Amino acid sequence: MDKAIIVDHLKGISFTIQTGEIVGLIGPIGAGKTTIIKVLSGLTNSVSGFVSVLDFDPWEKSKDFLKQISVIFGQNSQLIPDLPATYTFELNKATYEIRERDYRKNLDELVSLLGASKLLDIQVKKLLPDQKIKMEYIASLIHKPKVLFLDEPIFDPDFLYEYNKKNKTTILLTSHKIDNLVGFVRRAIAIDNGKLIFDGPLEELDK
Amino acid sequence: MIKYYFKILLIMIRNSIKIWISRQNKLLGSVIFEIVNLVFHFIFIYFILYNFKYLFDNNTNLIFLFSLTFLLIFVLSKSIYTNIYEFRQLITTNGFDLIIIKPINSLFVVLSSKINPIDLITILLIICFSFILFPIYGLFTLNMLIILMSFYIVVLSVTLSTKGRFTIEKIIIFFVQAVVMITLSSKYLIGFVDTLSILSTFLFALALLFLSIILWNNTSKKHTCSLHK
Repeated sequence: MDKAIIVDHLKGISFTIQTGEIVGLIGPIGAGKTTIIKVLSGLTNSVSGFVSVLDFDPWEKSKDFLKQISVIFGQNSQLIPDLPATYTFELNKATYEIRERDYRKNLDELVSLLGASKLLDIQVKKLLPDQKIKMEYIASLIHKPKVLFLDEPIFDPDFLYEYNKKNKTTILLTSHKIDNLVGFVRRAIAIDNGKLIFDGPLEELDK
Repeated sequence: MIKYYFKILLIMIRNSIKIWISRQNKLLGSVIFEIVNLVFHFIFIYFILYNFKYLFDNNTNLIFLFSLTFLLIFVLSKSIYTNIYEFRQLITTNGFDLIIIKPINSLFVVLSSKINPIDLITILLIICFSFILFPIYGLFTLNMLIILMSFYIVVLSVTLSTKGRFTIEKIIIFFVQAVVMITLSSKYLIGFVDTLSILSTFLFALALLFLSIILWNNTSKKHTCSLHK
């Protein structure tokens, strides 16, 4: 299997993630999880060590790299509140240069997996929180990214599991609670105070 | 590349129009209010200048263009205030992070995502009128917009580099007015401009735009989002 993500001595933390893996990054609030997600998505420069995502240096923010990743932050939304979510999807379609046929196919697949067909034409600000999250996932996955970063998101484990199974998308998600990851995340990486304290099967960490 | 950005610009304008419509509870009343507001400003300025028509060689076309220029300043300042305020919010809430992780020029997104349709129509009408009445004046107006955009990019860069803690929005109105004077459009109208000045003002605009884009590129490249939410 190819290595999708390589982190080598990033402030003493090293790990690799294979293509198609779902990995949970666990640690208490302030442990450095968000910083790692931001370094891997190119939002923050890695002060030390070596970082590679899909063989790209994230900090370079090359167009080819950005087209192949997606990031969902639990507290921020890319959806336009005053419009139905389809307007954001169409903007992303143009931004990521998705062909009409692929766009339709991806949209149908995501809508079907999330059971969101009735939500497409509703103004985002009128959606319930869990409905809004479904739209956020569609907006973030409409370009079929190879790597998905999730920073403390509210998520549907069944959806992520199914989506990963179907598309072999590498998923790295952060959480400060192990309970959130049980059932669909096999591997967990635990950090505390910016140090790696565990890397292995989630069940072992759970014990 | 141009086709790519033009397509996105059209989608953003369409979205802005839809948002603008969705926010108006009484759309018709709101449009009428905006139009009356602009017309009132225009008439007010026109009649003030009309009383000093000897300054314009008694040429009503010149007075008309002068009034349009002031209207343009009014519209642009209003729109700039709104945009800068919203950009600062985007920085402080980490919303800008969602823009820079997309494969598109972040400056383009920031400049074009919040367009008020009425302002856009007004700006386009003013430029068209200017070109029809005095083509060179029309060019000056475009030149003024380039200089204004450069100032705007500088302001955005300062906002970004200070993470929204420091903005210079309160003096932007001064810049806007200064820009009009710098571009010599007013002086051109009353015949005070020679060829060298015309050339220099265009060169100045291009140089300023170039430098402001370099500043933005450096600032956005170095931009590191808040490590702690």
